[in-house]
Amino acid sequence: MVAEASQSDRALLSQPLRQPPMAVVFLAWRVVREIRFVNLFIIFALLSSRRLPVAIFPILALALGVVITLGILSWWRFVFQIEGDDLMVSKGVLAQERLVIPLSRVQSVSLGQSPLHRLNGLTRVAIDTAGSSAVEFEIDALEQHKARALQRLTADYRREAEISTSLGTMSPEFDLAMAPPPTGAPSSVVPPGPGIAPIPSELLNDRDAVEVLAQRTLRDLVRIGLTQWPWAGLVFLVPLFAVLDDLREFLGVEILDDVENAVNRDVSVGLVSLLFLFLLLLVLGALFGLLLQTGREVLTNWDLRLSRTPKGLRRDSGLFSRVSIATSLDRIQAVDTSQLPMQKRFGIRRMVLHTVGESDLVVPGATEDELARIRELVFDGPDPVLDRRISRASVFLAARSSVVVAVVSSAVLGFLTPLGWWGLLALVMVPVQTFEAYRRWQLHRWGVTDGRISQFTQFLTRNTEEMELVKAQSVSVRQSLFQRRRSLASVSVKSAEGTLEVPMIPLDEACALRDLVLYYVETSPRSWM
Amino acid sequence: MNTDFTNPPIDVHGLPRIEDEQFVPLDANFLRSKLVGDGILAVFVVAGTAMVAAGLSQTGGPVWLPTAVGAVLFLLVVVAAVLQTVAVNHLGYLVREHDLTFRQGVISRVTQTIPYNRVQHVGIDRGPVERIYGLATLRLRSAGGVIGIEGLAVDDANRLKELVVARAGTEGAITHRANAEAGVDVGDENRPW
Repeated sequence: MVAEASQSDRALLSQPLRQPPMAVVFLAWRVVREIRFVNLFIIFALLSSRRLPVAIFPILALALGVVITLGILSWWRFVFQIEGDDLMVSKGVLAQERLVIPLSRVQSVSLGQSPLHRLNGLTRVAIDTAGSSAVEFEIDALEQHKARALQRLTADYRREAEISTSLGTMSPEFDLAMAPPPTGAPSSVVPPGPGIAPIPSELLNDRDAVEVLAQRTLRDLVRIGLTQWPWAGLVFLVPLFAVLDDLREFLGVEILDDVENAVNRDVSVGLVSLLFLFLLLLVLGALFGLLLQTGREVLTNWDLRLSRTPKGLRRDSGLFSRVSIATSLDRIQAVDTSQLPMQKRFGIRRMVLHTVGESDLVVPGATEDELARIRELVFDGPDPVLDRRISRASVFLAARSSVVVAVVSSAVLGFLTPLGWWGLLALVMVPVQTFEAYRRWQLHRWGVTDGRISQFTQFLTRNTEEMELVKAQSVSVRQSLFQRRRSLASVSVKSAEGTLEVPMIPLDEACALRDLVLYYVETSPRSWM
Repeated sequence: MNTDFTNPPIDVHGLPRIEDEQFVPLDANFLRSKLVGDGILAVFVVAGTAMVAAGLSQTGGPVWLPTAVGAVLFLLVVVAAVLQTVAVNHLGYLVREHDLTFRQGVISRVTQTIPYNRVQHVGIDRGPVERIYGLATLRLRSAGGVIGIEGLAVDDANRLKELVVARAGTEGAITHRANAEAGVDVGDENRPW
């Protein structure tokens, strides 16, 4: 049954194995990571502000000792091997845990490398199985040839399982599994352009890439970073606010005092200059945000490529830490896209393939052509027909809630703060939110085509959601009091990854949609994964 | 490729509808068990308040504070009991051949359905008060979404569990996968290729 070539892989993995000793560093790093960097940063800030007694240092030394001991112990206790058709793992420092994972259940083996891994020729291995949504377990560091052997061995088992489950179905995965790999496949892989760092060949494994579906150059990445909302990048600064005071003390810089003083001396500083200062801060913040997210985009998605392999899809990316995620097409549960207004100019959008497990495949900056090709692979059917709308009552509901919130907040602002009559400015949100709800209602479309449910929503950002009905795990019909008075309802179709919710449609239509989803799920011989 | 593959149109209006069938109400003891639970909670609230207040009065602290907090908590328990009395009439479940539906909600209503062939795990929970009244909670877990039906008679819960477990393994692709995993040979002559 199992191919001859995998006999050597099997021999390599069939004795009890430990990770290389170098793994202690990564295991200790994992302990540190569990403490969270923000907390470490706070501790650091506290220490530098000298508010704590000297006694803290022995405690810190003790903590460091505990971290290292835990690292060594968990390295020693982590033993794994292949026994027959199972992967046996035993691990745990205090409580011994033994896992038996049938190789046919392993859904994906993802490999990743940090710079430290690369220096030592090691790889991080994440093993994901059916039946749990989280990554089942991780091997922090493993020699590359062993990691590749494990990946190959499980892939063979998975392919066999796929063949035996696609009995009587006509899914695209079936075609892929059965088709012999095209000869001369490497020539179809676009060679990396000049200026792109070479990818470790062990990770890329170009031999099994049948087709490159998407690829990003530095220019693409800069474009993706610059076309996002400017404030998206500022999110990374939020943890800093927690320690702002300590940071200020530490740096010896008075960041906010100037602003505070300016506000306090409002007699001398006019309203115009305050407004100017505010606008200046806004522009500077936006620029800084753009810079941050462009940098992040370049770091994480450097030389991103999404390729089709005989077993499914694989995505490789990263400048310092290369991450490789592989998935079979079966595991993709839903496909979402979003396009910001600035991205419309360039005809690019962000595509997310939601897969069972931790690793969704995110393809930023996807062009229409790439999108069409990937959709064709995943869905293998006609384009969705978005011929249905939602009830106009959604506009009324949004306007009503907006009025309530606006009246309450202007009353609170007017009576409880020195703003006085200026509190009435809160009422401005009513027309703004009503207009937003109106546009959303006007552009909202959904439909069911060829066993797939699709939805399009837009207000500034254009979003599409698409899910095959056989991927549904449960269906709910909800009615709020507002909806019950008008015989409306919302339907949510839950898959293993993500929910597609159609809001505010007539109750009859909602029930019909629910019945249709159940019909597909209960009669289709196709499995959801 | 399969030659017997067909793709006939579906008569959407002819699909079996959920509203047409009758939902089954929960066991008559359910409300009683809930009210007993609320009663026990109320006793704990009163006792806790009394203890804290007594402790404070000895040290000369503000006795009104724990009294006020206790009164609010007690009121919340009473309100919860009233709401449960109203809500119990709107709870109901529906067992069909291929799926299980649970309906709940007084003000906003939710009807949730899980097909048996998506069920990953079935469990029965029994708390102490539920045991006194011979009740059980059945939980159906799929990879996306959970249905928890409280207030079933133990026998009903066990029967439902048996039913769901049996159905979960006998439909569609699950069969093939289960066979493959169990190492059952489905017979090469049945395969179309």
